[in-house]
Amino acid sequence: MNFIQPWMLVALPLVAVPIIIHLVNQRRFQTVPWAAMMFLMQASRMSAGYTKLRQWLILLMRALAVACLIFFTSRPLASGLIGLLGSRSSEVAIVLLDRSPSMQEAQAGSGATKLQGALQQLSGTLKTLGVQRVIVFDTASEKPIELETPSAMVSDPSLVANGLTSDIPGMLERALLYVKNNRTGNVNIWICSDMRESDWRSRDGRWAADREGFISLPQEVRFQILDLGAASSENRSIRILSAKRVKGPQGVELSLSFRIERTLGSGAPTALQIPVEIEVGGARSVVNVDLQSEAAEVNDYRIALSSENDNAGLDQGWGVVRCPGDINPADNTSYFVYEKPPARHTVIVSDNPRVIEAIELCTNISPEQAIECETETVASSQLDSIDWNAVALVVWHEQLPEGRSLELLTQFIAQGGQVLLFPPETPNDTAALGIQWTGWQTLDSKAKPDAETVEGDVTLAKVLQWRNDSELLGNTLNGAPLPVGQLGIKRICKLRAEGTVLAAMSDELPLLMRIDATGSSKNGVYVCTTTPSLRDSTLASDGIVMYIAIQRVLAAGSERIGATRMVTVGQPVSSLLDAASQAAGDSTILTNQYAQNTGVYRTNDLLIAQNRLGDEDSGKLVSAETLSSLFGALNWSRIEVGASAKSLVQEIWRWFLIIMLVALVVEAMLCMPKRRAVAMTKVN
Amino acid sequence: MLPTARSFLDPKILSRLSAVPLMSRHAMQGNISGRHSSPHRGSSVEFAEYRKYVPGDDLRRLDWRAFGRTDRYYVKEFEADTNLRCCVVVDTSGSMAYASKGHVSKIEYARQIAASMSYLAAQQGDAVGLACVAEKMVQNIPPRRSAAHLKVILDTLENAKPSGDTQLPAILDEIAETIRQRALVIIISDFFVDPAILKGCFEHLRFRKHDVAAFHLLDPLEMEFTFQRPVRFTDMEGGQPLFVEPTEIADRYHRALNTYLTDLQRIVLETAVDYHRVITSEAYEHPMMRFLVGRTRGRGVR
Repeated sequence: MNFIQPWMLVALPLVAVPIIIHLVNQRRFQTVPWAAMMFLMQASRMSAGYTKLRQWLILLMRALAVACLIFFTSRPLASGLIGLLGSRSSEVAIVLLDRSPSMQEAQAGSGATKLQGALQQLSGTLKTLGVQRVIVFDTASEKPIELETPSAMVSDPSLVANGLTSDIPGMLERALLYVKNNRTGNVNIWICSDMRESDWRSRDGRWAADREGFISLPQEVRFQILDLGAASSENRSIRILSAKRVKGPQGVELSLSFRIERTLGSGAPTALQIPVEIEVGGARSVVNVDLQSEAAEVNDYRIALSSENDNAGLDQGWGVVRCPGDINPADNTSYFVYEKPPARHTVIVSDNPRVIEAIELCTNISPEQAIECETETVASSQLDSIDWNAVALVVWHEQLPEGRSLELLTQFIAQGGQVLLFPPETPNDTAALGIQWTGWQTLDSKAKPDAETVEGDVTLAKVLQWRNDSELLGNTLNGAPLPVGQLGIKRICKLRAEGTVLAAMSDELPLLMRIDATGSSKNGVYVCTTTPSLRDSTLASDGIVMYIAIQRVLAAGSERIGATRMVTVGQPVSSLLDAASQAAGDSTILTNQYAQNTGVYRTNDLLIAQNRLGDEDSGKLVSAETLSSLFGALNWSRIEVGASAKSLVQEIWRWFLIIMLVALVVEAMLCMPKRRAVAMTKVN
Repeated sequence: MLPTARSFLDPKILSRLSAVPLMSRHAMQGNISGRHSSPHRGSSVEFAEYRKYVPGDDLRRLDWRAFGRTDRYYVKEFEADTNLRCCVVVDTSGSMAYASKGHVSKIEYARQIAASMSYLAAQQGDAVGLACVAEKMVQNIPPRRSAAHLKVILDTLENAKPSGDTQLPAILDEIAETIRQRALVIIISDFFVDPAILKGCFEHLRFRKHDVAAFHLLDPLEMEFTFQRPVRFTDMEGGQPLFVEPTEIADRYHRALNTYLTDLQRIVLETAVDYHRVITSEAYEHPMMRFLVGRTRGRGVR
């Protein structure tokens, strides 16, 4: 129990006043000469049990009444979980709001979603605590949302759920900056979340910085985590994995892959059949998916788009997959777009194309019949003449770019283009894109640097470690690893670079790295420290690894080509949606919030299907141990929020008033003198 | 009659009380003729019985009419009237000094009753005595009839000072033994002793053929016990003081008082004591009038 005006509790010693008055009254006795002592003696010898008890009860009731009066004026709150919040409440409260799709889950016992329930309860709580102004941080907007009253939280249109996975460490970072810049006093930060790992990102490196930042603040910051809890009953989600327009035996077809997952409220999973509705171009079809365990995937489900003789108007389109409604409607729909696959255009910039002619072979051979691949070899001076919008991959085998070339390449990378760098024969000191070549190193002393053929007795350095979960060298769809270990490396060009090593002969000898050139972990700049030339490696002779890696990076680069995009909410392309029109999705969404919500949107050039992040469907929660480690020495508490309460805290002064009145009535009844027998005083 | 004015004697009240004679409930053995019946035959106008003449009887007392009717000699006998010995016992122990605010003390009240009773007895020619008792027999004036004796009694009453413990039962036993003839014993006290012990005293007095009357004096505050604040009660008879929270103990005090009064009431009924409980807030004329009138019932007043 806590108090809004706890300073009133200093009056608690007044509880002793009735007892003190009783003791003082006993000391202020009068002395009376008395004749009928024999009756007093007899009376004092009689049992005084009830009388003593009555006296104690009277004293107790008086003390209780005084205590209740003091508690009543201290305005008590009915929640032990808020800690000493009441005593430290300020006029400003900072709220970090998780508006992710999982927050649209319906709460048990009420029709409201978790987000609505949390806002309702938090609004009531802040109002009770006397908070005047609320600062709300969320992932969708960089700037905080300032509300004049806590009540505005419930009705503010910018605080509705969206399709964006929350970034709690990011919000904390911004809250820390706000507290620093605005020099607030002691502050309470309320975090409303359903504790999904996808929102909390417990492995994110920013947590440590946030934690240190808050600890170093001069003022006290207290965190109140409103835990909206796990799903109370089974929830199913559907997510599109891929949608491709392919040519089948019957004509143009749509190849769909989607995944259904379910999170169980309680008990063991039971087998069930889920009717999945697929809507393409206004036509709906239903496919039943057997769900035996917690997830099921449907791959390459074909839907005919046209007959063999009718190909008109089907170059691109959009569709929706839906599973039946459950407690969370936000994850029952997934959108997709499709189009005729664009050609995968590769630009090779090389001063010695012979060395990397194997690369050209890899980029020219299409993995699928429907996809066209084309390669163009140019010199670095010709870069201005290239149509960069059609390029998926740039293979750079020259001195590192400088000047205009570097500018064009950087712009290409920022737009999602992929770049694969190979070392030139004689590298110079140029540093670009975060790397700098330092010189060739022969790995095998028996190798002959000038020979272009491999002698039979030469021992080659083997690739001993590689990331089989990476984009380029990851395992195949059936889980088999690529034969990277069979590659033989004769010499490598050493380099200075910051990035992720994807394959290496040893800790000091990397083979393939992903460079963090622009500060974004999603960019596609890869560097290979050797060439496919036979005098350098067996990349070309054991070509399967190189081919797969090249095709993968090419596929990633081709995503930026074409008139359709399938993205997740929050990706850079979402910024294009400001000027888009909605083709499918929730029609109640405001136009300025398209970028934060799922659906299909059409811009002048693009048809964009925007879905929630796949991690949203996993249902994995942050454990109590993880939460403890995330907040460490910070002052924090976790409050599990139910659906029934209107507010997290409630003033309960009425109860104390009632108890005080009851105590006074009981005291009056105990003090009431007994009616004496009339006969006793009657004169004979 | 009264040589000097006494504060405890009111002539108006005495004149009203004089209208009712002081009667004994039993036959008295006085020395002279008086207003009270005697166990012996005498020459009053009250016919008693016929008795056969025996030689030696006074011939003047032969009833000739009875001889004419029956041809036998009968002597006509009459009741003898004699005077009364009235012994007033006044308790002068310390407890009798108690007086609550606005009321007379019990000793003053006792003086008024004792003096009035002595005056009335003396007025009708009865012998009056006085015994003042506390830890011992403080004063003992044997019953006499003279007017001067009344003055002695009134002086003694005037000078009586309440003090000390009460030994009333022992002294009542002593009085029962020391009064030689039948007498009217009037005890004026607060009777703060064990009723069982009192019972023995009353039975002793009754055994000695005395007519026992008791005026039980109680202060209104002793009956009501309406104290509010804590009180340290000091014993007026020299006992240990007692600290009491009146609101706590009042119930039990009343229970003890009620039990005592009930027991006392039962004892006076069993021992045929003419018992009068008197609250000192009441004017003394009223209990005295009740006492006198009560004694005239059952026999004519001459």
